[in-house]
Amino acid sequence: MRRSWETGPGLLGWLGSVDHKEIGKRYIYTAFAFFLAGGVQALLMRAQLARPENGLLSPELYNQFFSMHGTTMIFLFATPIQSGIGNFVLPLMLGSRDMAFPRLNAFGYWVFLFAGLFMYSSYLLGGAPAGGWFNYVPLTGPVFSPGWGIDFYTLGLIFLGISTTAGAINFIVSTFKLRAPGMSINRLPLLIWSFLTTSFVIIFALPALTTANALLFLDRRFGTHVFDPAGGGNVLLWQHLFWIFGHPDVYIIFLPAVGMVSSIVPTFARRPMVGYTLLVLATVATGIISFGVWAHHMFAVGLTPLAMAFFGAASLMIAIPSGIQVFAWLGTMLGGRVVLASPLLFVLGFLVLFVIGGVTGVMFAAVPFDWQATDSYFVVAHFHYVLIGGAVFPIFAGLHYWFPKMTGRMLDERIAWLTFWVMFVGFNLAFFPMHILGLLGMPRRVYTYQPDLGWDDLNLLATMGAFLFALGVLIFVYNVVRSLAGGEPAGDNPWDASTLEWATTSPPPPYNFLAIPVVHSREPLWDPQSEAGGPLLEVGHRTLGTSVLDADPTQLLRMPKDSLWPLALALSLLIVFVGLLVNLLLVVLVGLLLTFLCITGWLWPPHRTRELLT
Amino acid sequence: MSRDTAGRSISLLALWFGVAAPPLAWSAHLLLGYLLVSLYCHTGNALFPLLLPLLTLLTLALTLAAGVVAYLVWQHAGVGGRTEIGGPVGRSGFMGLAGVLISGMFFLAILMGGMPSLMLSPC
Amino acid sequence: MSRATVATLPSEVSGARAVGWWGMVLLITTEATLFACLLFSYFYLAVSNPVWPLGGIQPPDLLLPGSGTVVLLSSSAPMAWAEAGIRRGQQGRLRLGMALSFLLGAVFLGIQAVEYSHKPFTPQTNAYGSLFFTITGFHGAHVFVGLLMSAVTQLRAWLGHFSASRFLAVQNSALYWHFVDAVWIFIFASLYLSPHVL
Repeated sequence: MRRSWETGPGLLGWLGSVDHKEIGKRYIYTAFAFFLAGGVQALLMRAQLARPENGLLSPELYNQFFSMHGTTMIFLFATPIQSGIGNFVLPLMLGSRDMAFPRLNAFGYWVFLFAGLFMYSSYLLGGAPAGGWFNYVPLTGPVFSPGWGIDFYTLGLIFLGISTTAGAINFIVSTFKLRAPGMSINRLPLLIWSFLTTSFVIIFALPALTTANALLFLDRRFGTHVFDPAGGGNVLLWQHLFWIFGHPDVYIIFLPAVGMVSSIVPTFARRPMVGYTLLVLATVATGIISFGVWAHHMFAVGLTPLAMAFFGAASLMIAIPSGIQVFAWLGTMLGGRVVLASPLLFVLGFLVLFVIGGVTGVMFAAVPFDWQATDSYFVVAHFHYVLIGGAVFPIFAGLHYWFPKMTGRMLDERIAWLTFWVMFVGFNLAFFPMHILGLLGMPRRVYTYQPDLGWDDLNLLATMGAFLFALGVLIFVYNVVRSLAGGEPAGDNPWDASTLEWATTSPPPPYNFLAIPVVHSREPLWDPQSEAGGPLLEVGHRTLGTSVLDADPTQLLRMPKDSLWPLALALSLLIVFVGLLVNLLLVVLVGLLLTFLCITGWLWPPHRTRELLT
Repeated sequence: MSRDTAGRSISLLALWFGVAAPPLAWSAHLLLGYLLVSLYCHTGNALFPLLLPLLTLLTLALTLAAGVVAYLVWQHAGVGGRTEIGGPVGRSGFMGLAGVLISGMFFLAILMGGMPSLMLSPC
Repeated sequence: MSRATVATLPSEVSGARAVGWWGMVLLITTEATLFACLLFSYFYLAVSNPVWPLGGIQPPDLLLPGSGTVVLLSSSAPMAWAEAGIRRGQQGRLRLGMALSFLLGAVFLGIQAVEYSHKPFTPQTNAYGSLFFTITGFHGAHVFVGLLMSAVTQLRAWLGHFSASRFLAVQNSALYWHFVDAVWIFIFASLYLSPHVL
């Protein structure tokens, strides 16, 4: 079994691996690297803002930094790192041997890596995009942003979108078809519900961004007029398209984080999650309603009162499911025997910070308040509370929780506690003052400010907080390096958790489970009834396919082994996008031809077509 | 086909109607409402402002119907709050309860979204 | 569940139980959403301007694109016939049906090329021109991809890769093709018919 499933040796094996565990870890490492890059840009900005009329960064460079900081954190860190955690955990939690499309999984990683590098190469090739992470026209149109900067943004995000979509398709089909027998839809772990909802949101929201970026690229490169008022175009169209994607996007980031919280709380409350059905509903309803609130990002552009009232109402409604979730988590902990380990500590931090961010969010849903605070530092404070509080803290909780499973080693608990407190205090010092700065009138995205406006001390405090937060991140990195080298061995289930990923070794063998598990409840490892023994499926490289609602076994799926096609296809697409960037048709055509050949080669059936079952 | 604790069958259509109809009704309310308002403000045809409250009422009714169907499904499954029971019975009970909750949520969402059009002019 | 029953589970599956089918369905869903966003953009600009089409451009002529529509939509029939054939193991039906569908699809693209050459405006003329060519061009690219998919599948058909129990690639090619045809209905109604009505 091991020989059949293990990734091949050497460089070719590493490049061709389709094992979800390896791919998941790559996503995590790469996304974390982008997190550090985005963080450095933030620290430089905060250094610039520490004093009024500072000269550390030029306005042009400052604009590039805030644009790339936002773009990096949202597109190259928050979504991919959760994709990585999901990639590693999902097949194990489902009781399967891999994702439904292992090669597509590998492809998704390579495209993510290449798209990120593509976008960052802009710093060396004329300047990074400098129009802000939501890239409004006409600033980012051909007249006001000549040069390649914005083209890196539009093309880079379209390229990255291919990876995100591939990942979403993989998560959905794996969840529908590759579950352990007995894991009917009402026994699906909440993390899986989160990823399932998120993946559907991606399927429906990402095309809006792709459309916007493609149309902008055409306006800039080929002289079309979609966003050009002089030619009958409309600049608001960009905003609509962007936010139709953009608001669901924040839930694409938030929902997996919430799923991780729902995995961690029961483990450390030593009891099953309270209100399972309510939580499933809250997750799904949040995902759906996220499509109906986008215009609350546009309250200050001149929409009609009816439109604003409609979107304001919907924005208030979407807070209801989140509130239900918070009460369910609190209820579970209050009724349990809480073990305060480091993952739970990060979850508690999340609860405090996310509630604060949620409250300021609800304030923004009221149009009159929005008109006062829009584009000020109050907004910056709000979204950092919901993004760092609502996503980064759960991500750190998840990393601390699943690190033992991924590596076979425990992280040091005392260093983890230090990490948490330094990050928590640093974060609040950095971002709480921004609420006040916003109400005092400081606009966002300014590279400097005048002295004697009353903003000096708060800005300095915020800068100190930011550096403290960064120190916390470094302490975490130290903990990881130290534990990888010689941390305490973890064992199969160090947290005594209930879901299937803890039913195998740490780290798991390449085939995940020797025998496919069979489940009889929502908490299989806490359930005395659960069988360890399901089908062995020893011969051939296979896993079990099951039905959608009831997870009854329906087929045996032959899984692919290592393959270089995913990497080759990703490289072919990179050639296409580079050709588009530098405006060389020949390069684009060569890339398209290679793309066609790679897809054909990938999908061509392998020769062992007559292999029979034993 | 699903069966409840008494062995009676619960149709798959009923299961899915209870769960899928409320979000679809809400989406229709959003999209068609947006469309109606756009067309009215562009053409001035007086028919549209009458259609808007009608749209709200229809989608509310559809959501309510889904809630009722889901409630009946949940009752027939007979599992109460114990939705973790396995097999088609547990799964049906889960989907029934889920349908009740989802109809409630989207009923509220449609109502809140529809109210401004009764008080404010469209353009 | 017993290990004996597992051994009787099928290994090669086509149809709605195959993971590859689900993958194609989801791909089509996201692509359909993209077309919806493009059409949304079209209508948004249409109601943002006092007159549409812009710049004195007349609503599009219907004869040529109309016949193209007939050609394209009818190409779905031989494709469906081919798929139904291979479900019964009929190789000849598979090959003939797909070839016919391919031919009709290529004719559609030819008609569109002729239509393009007759247009008195370009994508650079104004926003109407931009979106007209972008939307129809994007669709045309999908038709082209569909033809490529069909060509490769036909090659594999001639190599004898398919049978009554193994035809997922045919199914997926057909599904994609029907999607491309269905989207055209919406594009035709929006870009060609609606200017004459609204």
